[in-house]
Amino acid sequence: MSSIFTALTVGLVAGLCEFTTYGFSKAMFGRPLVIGPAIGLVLGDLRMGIIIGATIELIYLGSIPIGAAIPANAAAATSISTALAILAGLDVAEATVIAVPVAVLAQLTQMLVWTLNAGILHMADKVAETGDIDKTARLHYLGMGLWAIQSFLPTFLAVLFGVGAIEWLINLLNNELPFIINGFKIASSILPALGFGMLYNMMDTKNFKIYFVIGFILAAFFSGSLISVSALGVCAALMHVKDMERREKRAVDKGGT
Amino acid sequence: MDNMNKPLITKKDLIGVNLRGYGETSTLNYERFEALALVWILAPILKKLYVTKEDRVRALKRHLEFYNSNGWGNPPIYGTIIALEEKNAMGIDVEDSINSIKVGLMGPFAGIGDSLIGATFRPLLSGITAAIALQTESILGAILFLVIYNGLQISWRWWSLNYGYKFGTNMLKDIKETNILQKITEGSAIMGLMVLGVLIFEWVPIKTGINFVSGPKEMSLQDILNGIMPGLLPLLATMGISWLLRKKFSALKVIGCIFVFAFVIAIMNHFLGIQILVS
Repeated sequence: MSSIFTALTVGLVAGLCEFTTYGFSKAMFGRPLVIGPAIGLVLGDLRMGIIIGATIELIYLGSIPIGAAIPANAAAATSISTALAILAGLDVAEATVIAVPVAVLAQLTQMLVWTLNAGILHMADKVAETGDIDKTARLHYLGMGLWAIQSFLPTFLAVLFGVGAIEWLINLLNNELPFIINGFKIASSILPALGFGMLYNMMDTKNFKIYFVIGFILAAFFSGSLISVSALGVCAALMHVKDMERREKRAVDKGGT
Repeated sequence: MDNMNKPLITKKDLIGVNLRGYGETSTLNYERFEALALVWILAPILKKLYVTKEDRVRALKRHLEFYNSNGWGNPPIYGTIIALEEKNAMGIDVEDSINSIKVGLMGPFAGIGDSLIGATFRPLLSGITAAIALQTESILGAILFLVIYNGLQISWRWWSLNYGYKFGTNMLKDIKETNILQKITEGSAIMGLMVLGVLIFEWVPIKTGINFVSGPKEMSLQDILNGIMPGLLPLLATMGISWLLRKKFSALKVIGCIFVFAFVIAIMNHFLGIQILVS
């Protein structure tokens, strides 16, 4: 579809913008509203970039990452739509539809990074045993490296080989080998249980198990939210402290008489 | 005990934490989310506060446990943790409470941040500025979006980090009162464990997709399980793994089992045409 130079340019600009989402800075350059004009600017049609960016921003308005749910990647969708519209002369509606497989690929590679990062975490577990704080903390930069590659690659490949190639890859993964993606998705739904299992073992030292049960029941049967249950948690904690004080006082009184 | 009231943490340290805070998601992962990020963010503080190898190992392990919150909720939590770590290093033993307080705070802050910023403020700002962009066909929309969002984010992060630090410091101020440490330890354990119950329900998304025909109608196993107790599978998985870990299974072994199990299920899903577990 395009020269390697164009692919590199689009990939780098899209990658730099999207890196702000997970990699570093949290500055929201990965929003369609921003990434559209950025791609438009380097491809010489700023106006088209602004229109496509704003249009996709409105489409993806409600898609926000909550917990571990990763929405289809709006940043990759925008960079490819903009590149297609400017390089191949598609109109806005066509470009956004054709860009969908790239958004899916970018979503899958994000999922892959979330999984690979768990590997880095276990490397950190091992280094932590030596007590070397710097060495443990430095592993964090590996994650930034993964995000840098992830932000750049889908857009770069899509511009270099054409969206058709990406569509073929997504079809292959979805239709011929669906258990690969599904395996990762199922594993990713179980993995938090490991994190919580470790945390539970660490916190359950004082035999207050019953409060864990209460919290879970409030969430499961009474639709208790994180906010409402933590408010109740504060109350329960204060009641417990009051009780401790009462017992202390009684002990003092007894000692006095 | 003369050095008890002389803070070890300086403004410069807090500035460093604030800057590193912008990398809070670089090692985001499904197992313990922002745990390694927290270690990276606190690294200069931990190095300053703890000198012996044992102290450092314990501090690293403490913060390599599950941690996750919302980007706007993180800085006040970091501030509180730093204050607690500082007092701990000064000899007031709050080590056991640090993780409970962390869990107690990360849950509600994630809830508030996700709904207030993630689901309300950010989409609202996006919508308005995208409309401006379409109307004026200029980059004014994008610039307004970036300036307003980041202006607020940068100010909030710095202010709330300091607020959290002061909050944590004040929490341990009346140290002379009887048994205050015991009270903080037990109170925070209660609150933390209650929040942990909700977190497992909300953040472990294990579901079955098995349907079976019983008489005239098709029944969903997940609906039946929900009738017994919603969140039964996440709870069983977490308790099962917690038991394995206590039986001296290493986390690495468990992670290996999870992946083998997940791929076996995925292959069975595919070739048997059923959905034993869905994502």
